[in-house]
Amino acid sequence: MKTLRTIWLRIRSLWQRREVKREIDEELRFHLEQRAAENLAAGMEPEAAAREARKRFGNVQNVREACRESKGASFGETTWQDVRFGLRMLCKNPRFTIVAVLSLAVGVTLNSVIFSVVDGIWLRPAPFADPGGVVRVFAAAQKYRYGEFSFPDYLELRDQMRSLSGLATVDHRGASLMGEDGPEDLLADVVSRNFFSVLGTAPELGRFFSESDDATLKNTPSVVISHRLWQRRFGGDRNIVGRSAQLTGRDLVVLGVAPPDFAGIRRTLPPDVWFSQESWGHEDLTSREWREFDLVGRLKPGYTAPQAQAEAETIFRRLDLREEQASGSPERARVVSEARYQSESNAETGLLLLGIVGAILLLACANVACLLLARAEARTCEMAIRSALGGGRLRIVRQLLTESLLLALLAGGLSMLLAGWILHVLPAWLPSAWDHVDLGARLDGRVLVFTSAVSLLALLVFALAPALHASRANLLPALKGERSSGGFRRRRSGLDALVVGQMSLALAVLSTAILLARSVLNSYAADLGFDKKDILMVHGIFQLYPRYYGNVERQRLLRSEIKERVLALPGVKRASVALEAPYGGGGGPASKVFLPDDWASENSPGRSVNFNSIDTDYLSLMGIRLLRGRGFTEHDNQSSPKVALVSETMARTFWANEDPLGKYLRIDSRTNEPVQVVGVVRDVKRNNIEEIPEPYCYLPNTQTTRWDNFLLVETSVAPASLAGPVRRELQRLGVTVPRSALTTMKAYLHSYLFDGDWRVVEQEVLAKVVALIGLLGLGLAAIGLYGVQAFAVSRRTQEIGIRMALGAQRQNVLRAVLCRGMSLALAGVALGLVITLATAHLLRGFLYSVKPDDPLSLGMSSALLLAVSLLACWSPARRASKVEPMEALRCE
Amino acid sequence: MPTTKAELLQGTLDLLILKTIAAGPMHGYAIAQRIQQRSDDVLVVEEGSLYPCLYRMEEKGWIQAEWGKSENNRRAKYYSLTRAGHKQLEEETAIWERVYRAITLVLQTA
Repeated sequence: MKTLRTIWLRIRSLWQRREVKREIDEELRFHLEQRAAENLAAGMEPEAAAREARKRFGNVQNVREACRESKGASFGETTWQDVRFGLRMLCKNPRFTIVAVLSLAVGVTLNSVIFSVVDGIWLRPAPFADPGGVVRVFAAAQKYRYGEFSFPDYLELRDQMRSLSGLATVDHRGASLMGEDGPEDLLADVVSRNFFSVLGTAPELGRFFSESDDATLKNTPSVVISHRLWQRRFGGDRNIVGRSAQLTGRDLVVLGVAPPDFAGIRRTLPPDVWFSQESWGHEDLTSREWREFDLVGRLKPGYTAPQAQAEAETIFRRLDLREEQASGSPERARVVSEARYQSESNAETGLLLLGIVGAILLLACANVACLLLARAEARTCEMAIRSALGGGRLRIVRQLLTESLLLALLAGGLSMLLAGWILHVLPAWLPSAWDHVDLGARLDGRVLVFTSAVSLLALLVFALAPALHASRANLLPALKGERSSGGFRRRRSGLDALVVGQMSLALAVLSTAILLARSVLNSYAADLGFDKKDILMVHGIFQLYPRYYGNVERQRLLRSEIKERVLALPGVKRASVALEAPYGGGGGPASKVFLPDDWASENSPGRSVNFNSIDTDYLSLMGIRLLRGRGFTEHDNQSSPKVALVSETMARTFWANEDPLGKYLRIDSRTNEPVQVVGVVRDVKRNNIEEIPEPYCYLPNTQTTRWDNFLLVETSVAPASLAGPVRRELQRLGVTVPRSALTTMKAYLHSYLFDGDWRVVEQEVLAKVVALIGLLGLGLAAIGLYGVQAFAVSRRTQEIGIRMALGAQRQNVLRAVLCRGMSLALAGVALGLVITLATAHLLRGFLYSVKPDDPLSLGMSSALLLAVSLLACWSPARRASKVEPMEALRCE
Repeated sequence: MPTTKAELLQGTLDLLILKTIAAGPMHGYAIAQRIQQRSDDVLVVEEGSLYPCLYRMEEKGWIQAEWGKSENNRRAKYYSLTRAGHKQLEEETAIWERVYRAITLVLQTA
């Protein structure tokens, strides 16, 4: 009851200030009149009576104020006073306000943006029903952890695993959507019919594939389209269900539309369309060798991922599924929850980025704390007067905190705007290879909450200390106008510590940026085993022409026709067709190779070897060096003895110290015709920069029945200019190639779509982002150093004047101030190096061929920081040296 | 416990006001008069501190105010005790008596 009453009084006093004032006046007036009446009754004259009453009462104004204070000193009113005063103070010092708000805004914006990105990539829970129950199933071995499965393997697992209520497959492909202005390349996922029910999601429109659709889907091939595609290409047409779309040359019926933000299992690469397996028409679902399928499943209630993993393990062993290629060690099963999989892939990067922007925020807060401390010095007088008037320490602290809160609010508001804008333009800033990537970074509720929390945290960090410090102001010296040297020194060391802290953080971030940059440069310069000159690459030429599948003769004819036509084009130097291109071309499954020792034994499993089927021009076009023996020639054809080329690793692995030239082996089965090794070539990187080379074998395409995947064209002009002509020639031969299938080697090396080493691209983007952040941090730290030095000089003008009057040279003063500033910078560098070295090991996963404590990188960042510090200290130092002794001594 | 004069007076002023109002609702002037009367003119309430005190006590919820008509038909603010005020009066009276007894004891010992 009491609290209600107090609240009521407070609210009343807030809204009825004038009313309350009037009441108080009336009450006091009544009292005075009563007193005057009494005096009158005692015999005084009316005027004297009134005067005596007033005199006896005392200072009416003070009483009025005191009453108002007691009554109207409600929280709301004083806070409103504080806010008004704070706003006035901020407007009176625009430079301070702008620098402080901008510094804070930089820190908070960076944190918001990065958090938004990390949230989209990793933290945000997936839009499935009960996402905790979704798991991924992988095959793992020594060298890889995310191995895929063949379709028969999947069927065994699906039927035998009791801990899963459902297991579905996903195959990542591409499709081409035909529209008025030509074909558009889309990301497509080919999934089993139970995919959507395993993930547990409801369609926006229409329906999803279901188990019972087997026959329906075979007769009417259907697809599910993504929400984004539905909006973008079909205008959000609510009658889309049942209409047909032309995808990759076929007409498919739209079965349904996925809900917004549903991306399947690859969060950052959301597919635009889902095919069911029947609709896609996979080439061969019975082959155990064709391992293309990712598995995703849902745990039955009560089962955990480790249990499912143990069960999968036993199934593996029972089926004697496989052994790791070339090393013979068996593959293990891995079952991890979807959340853990996302975190495995993305946690490191996310945490690194969050750590870096956290450091920048600390930097920004230190900056603002410095500004506040410096300003507090200037306001000591004001504080002292307030204290003397009975402000009370708490009141002063509240006032200062309110000002800081206003700063934080301004900075927070500005940050939201900036973050929103940055996220809006972010897709345009990403490399073109990332056209289909969706970082999922949005300014949604989660991000706003995070931003607010960060702003408040920043507020606490930077505002409390100066506020408490200022309120403790020693009254007397301040009122007399003196500057108490004791307090001043304490404040100076506080400022110095803040500056050193800023410098150290800036150094740590800069070092990280330089390390990442060097790592990226090293990656680009790395030797991949082939010549990275710019050539035109056409991908998937035969995949799109199922007509020739199985007909070897027609394939060979088409192949030579293509080569002829392309070579006839102006500007073409060489052309070659091959099954695989290095660095992620993904030609086909591995084959079994049988050495003479294995020929006799019936049960010999053979050795797993990846191979490429090439023509005579391939090695020279790609610049793959021949180490021994010879390459393929026109004489190696259908009728001549079978030959092969082996990679140096294969030679070393299979024939150790002997010369492999002239040795025989059998491919695919023990009874096939023996193949003779006629040459040894250099290793090439097949998938990514850091892989350890495995045995690799080349066969002449005249002697295999594999189709080609790649057409490679070496040009004397820019390869991109020949993309059109080559496409037209292929068109004339009946091969329709989507635009995305033509690329140049340069783009290919950076492309995500072709499963190239996207890690390098990711590293490049990461390095650029960190470099930008590092520069911002450097700027903030420089401003901090400059501010503190300028403040120090302005406060010590008198002292400098005295020194100069006593004979100090301008040079000495300049040097002294510079030395003071640079000693701060040096201390910052030293501390920064300690921090960097202590956290160096965390960076190891990001760096390629650069050590985390690389002295050159650390040296570069230190030098950069010191150089910028010198610049920052220069102006205050010059100003100090320009002090006129007479003037300095005269003015206060 | 050495306290400044102002504090000691303030604490006792609360008590005096509470006790005075306990008899019945009064306006500020009457409260001051009554205290002076009852204490045989010893305790003269400083008028400047009376009203702030009343307002403070009202904030705390010990007394409540109502506008009414005075004896000579003027508008005046009348204060009365709340239930919390009664309780506060009891507490403060008890404390005062304890303190009084303690000081008396000390003064009695030779």
